[in-house]
Amino acid sequence: MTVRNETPVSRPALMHFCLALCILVLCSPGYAEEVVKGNFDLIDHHGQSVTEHSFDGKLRLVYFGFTRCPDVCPTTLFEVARVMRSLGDDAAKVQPIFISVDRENDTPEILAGYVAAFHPAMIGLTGSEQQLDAVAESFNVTYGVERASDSGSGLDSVYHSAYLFLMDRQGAFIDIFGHGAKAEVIEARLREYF
Amino acid sequence: MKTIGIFTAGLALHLSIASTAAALFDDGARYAFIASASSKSVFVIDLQEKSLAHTIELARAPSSVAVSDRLKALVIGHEANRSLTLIDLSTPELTQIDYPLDLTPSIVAMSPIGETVAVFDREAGKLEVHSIHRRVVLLSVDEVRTESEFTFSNDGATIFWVDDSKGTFNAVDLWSERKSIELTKPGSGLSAISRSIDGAVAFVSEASANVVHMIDLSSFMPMLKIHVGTGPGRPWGTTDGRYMLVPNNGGRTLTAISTMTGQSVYTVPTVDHPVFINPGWLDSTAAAVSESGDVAFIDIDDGSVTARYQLDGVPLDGIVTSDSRTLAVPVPERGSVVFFDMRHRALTSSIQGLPLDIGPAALAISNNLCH
Repeated sequence: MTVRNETPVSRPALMHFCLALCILVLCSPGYAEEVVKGNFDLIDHHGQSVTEHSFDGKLRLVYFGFTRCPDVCPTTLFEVARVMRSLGDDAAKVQPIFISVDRENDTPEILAGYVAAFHPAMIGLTGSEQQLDAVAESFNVTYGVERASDSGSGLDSVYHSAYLFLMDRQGAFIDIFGHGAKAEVIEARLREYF
Repeated sequence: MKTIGIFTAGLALHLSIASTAAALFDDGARYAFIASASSKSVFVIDLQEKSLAHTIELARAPSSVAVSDRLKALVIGHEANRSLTLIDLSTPELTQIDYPLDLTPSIVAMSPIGETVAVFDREAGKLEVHSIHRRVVLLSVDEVRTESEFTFSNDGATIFWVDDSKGTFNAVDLWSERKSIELTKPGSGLSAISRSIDGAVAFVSEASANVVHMIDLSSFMPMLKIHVGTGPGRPWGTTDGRYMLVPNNGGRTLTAISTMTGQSVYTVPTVDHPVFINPGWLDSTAAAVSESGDVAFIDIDDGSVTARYQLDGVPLDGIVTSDSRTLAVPVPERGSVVFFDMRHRALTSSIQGLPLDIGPAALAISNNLCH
């Protein structure tokens, strides 16, 4: 059996074999930037207040999670750390940021130990419930925490969106990576902005 | 500090495992798998390159496919041979292991934790849950009747299904505790189940009554009936958890339900007889796809249609990549897989020349939620 790959939509083969094309296109490409605003006002792992402007001049990789996460968070942050190591001197142009949604457990002290385990340049952020709600809304991120004391399950239950955000040097949205994105893919995209 | 020390030790173990797991097709976010019985093959689709990456030849005709990112394993069901084939995706050889069953695998469904699969024999009414890693049966239950898919709880310990012949909503956990509640009268057209992202609530459509049932999974009690459009099908949840999007298959509308309030937010015209809905691009947009291949992109916040396309054939359920950027839709009668860019709501490319009996695509990492 022969299998071939087609790429552009305009190719005649594709027109004939697969698809009768677009009837109506009204969308504009601007809404992506509107979805992710990227504003925050939080506390870093040194206990200092920071905003998106605290990192002006650097590209940012921003990830939401919690330090007790068993798999998705450390896997993603491991890939971010791989990117930073692979960048060499160019790593100075990038600020990796981890925002914990588990504010009761993830104190600045715990965050400091956690992010240092991945990369020395990584910064951990937390905040009050109102601050975390605000940053989640600004990034279009979902999260929720159900305490063991409330659920009776014996374990805290935490969930959150697992996107990794690439933001520009002023903190504006550039792109996202999904859970499972490899360091090579992230690095290649970053380098487009060096 | 003690807490950090314990954690760091665990992390080191985790990272040492992660760093050794790099091989051909074990990137769970990048590759999708599509089975074809006529060619006794599984096609590996590269969602990044939007191309056919590889064809895995099998000794037996596949009837279903599931994939685990955690185990880096592909699970192939063979109805005719009452067996599974386990394929190790982390080895270049793609080592295949035969896994005999005592039932016919009409449905093979991977649990969210990626270590267990549910295997259902529709004719015998038998459901089993197998630990793929340990290769043992964890659960075996009889007298299970359903025409639709199974849904796992977030932790994979409970399986839910509807029995439309009785109008019931059912559950069984790994300790064999069964529960059942009557939702409606028999034969009312109950859909498969979708659960909220926190795992607390289930949503089931009832086609004949034009309603969606909300069920509290902790108390196992009905909460609400939400009126939607005509002939609703299975609800599709947005990955941010805000909405359940309901394709009203009896008409040409889509209903968005707020998961917070349990209220219908809007019902809007989309395509005739919509059958599935794929949210994407940070849940800002959704593709509603009809049983005849019409595709309408809507803005999720207000329900406005922003782009339309026509596929040249009857589609199977689409999948969206974990970055929420790419929608892939198999079209068996054309032997194709069609790709849409969800960010720009545009058709971008397709793979042609696949067999005309390709099945749905299986993707290991398809959501963007950690829990």
